[in-house]
Amino acid sequence: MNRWIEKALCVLVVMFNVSAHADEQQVNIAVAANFAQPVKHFAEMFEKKTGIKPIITVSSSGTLYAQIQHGAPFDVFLSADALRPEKLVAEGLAEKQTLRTYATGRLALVSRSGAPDSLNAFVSRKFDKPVAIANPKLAPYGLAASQALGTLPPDAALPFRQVQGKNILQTYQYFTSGNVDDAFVAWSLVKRSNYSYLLIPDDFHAPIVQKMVIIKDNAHPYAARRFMQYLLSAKVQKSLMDWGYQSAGKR
Amino acid sequence: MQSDIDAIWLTLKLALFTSVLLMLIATPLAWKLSRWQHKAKNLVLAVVALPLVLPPTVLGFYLLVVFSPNAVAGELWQLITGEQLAFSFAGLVIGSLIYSLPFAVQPLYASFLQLDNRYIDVARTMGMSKWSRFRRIIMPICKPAFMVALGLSFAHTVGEFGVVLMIGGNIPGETQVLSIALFEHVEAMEYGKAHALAFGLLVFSFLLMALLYRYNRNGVTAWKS
Repeated sequence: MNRWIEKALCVLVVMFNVSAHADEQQVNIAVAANFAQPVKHFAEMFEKKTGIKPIITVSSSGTLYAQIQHGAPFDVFLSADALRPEKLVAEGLAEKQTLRTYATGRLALVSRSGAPDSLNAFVSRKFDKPVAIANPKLAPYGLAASQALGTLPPDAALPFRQVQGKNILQTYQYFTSGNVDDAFVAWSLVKRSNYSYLLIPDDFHAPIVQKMVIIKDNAHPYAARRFMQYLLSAKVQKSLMDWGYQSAGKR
Repeated sequence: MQSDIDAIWLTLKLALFTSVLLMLIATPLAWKLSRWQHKAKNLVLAVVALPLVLPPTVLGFYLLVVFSPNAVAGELWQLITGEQLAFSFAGLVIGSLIYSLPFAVQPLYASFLQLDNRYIDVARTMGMSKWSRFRRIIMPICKPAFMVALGLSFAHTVGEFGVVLMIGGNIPGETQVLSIALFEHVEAMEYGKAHALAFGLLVFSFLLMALLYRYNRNGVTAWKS
């Protein structure tokens, strides 16, 4: 019996060693919700090209940040903002020289009754349902939305109630489930949908700069770098427009 | 800080509404179930227990779909009250009723099962009406179970998170309950404020549970002697 347990233990130890040293066969990516769809697509291409399998975790930037702070085993963090990756660097948890902008987001107003021509036209409408935005404290797209609404003349007290989603995906979900008829979301979410939307001019809000960074002491330093290089490659950056982003270089 | 205080009041209000309404719903339901013999009984018990095991997001997702003005329930509600069900306090109460239902039904059901039918039969032969049998026999004997049901459903509603996150919309003073405010602090990296709320919630829940257990023990021993 003891023998048997010993053998089983040996097998286990060997298995774990193998998985620990079969390194660079995978890379763990933590990605903010708005970029989940494109990153899944790019990950597939990346795996075909390099044989390295990206394992993708989707959550809000805030949650991922807190998890990384407490030692979550991610190699690369793709945030929806610049603030959180920069904070990780400042806290000594991420590698400073790997901090890069990978995309710039754009805000869109999606509307069931047809997209308005402008924000001004939008707020002169009548509303019988609230309008959804992402929580400005948590989500960069929510902050951008509140900045955009803040550009309106102050006497135009907003003619609607606001409801807030915890992130941009939930905000969009309020719209798709029919509980609101208008929502401020990421362009990337609605670009390929059949809904009618208004692309908010990008001088209505501070740029939504999305940065990524490699986490210190990670398990797959080589694969992490290759993945990062791949995202910054001209081919990927050029295709970002199709997904509803501007490439990192452009404002 | 003001918004945190609003969140605390709102949470207490939601928990009070939910637990009191639940007592009105759960008492007859648990009584019927405890006196009912049928093949389908297990199925009904299973349905009542579902919120215990389902992820709150499942419930929240279905509620979001049902609450939509395009769905029958959401449309009916809007016709009757003129208001939308999602993102409203009423919507949260409905969600919490479902979410905390087993916590109210199960203690009552267990207690009603143990209740000796002879007490009730004697009372009936002595000409006690149904209502006074309930008030003067069942209520006093099962009092600990009533307290536990009330306390547990109250506490469980205070701690509710997933369902509110799905259907609430985070409106301060209306749907931004304590757990949501806490979540927002954590996500916004305001760990100081988060600690204050989290610790408060921990102490409150502990005190409530301690009180319940104490009450339960005393109640049960009093009943036995």
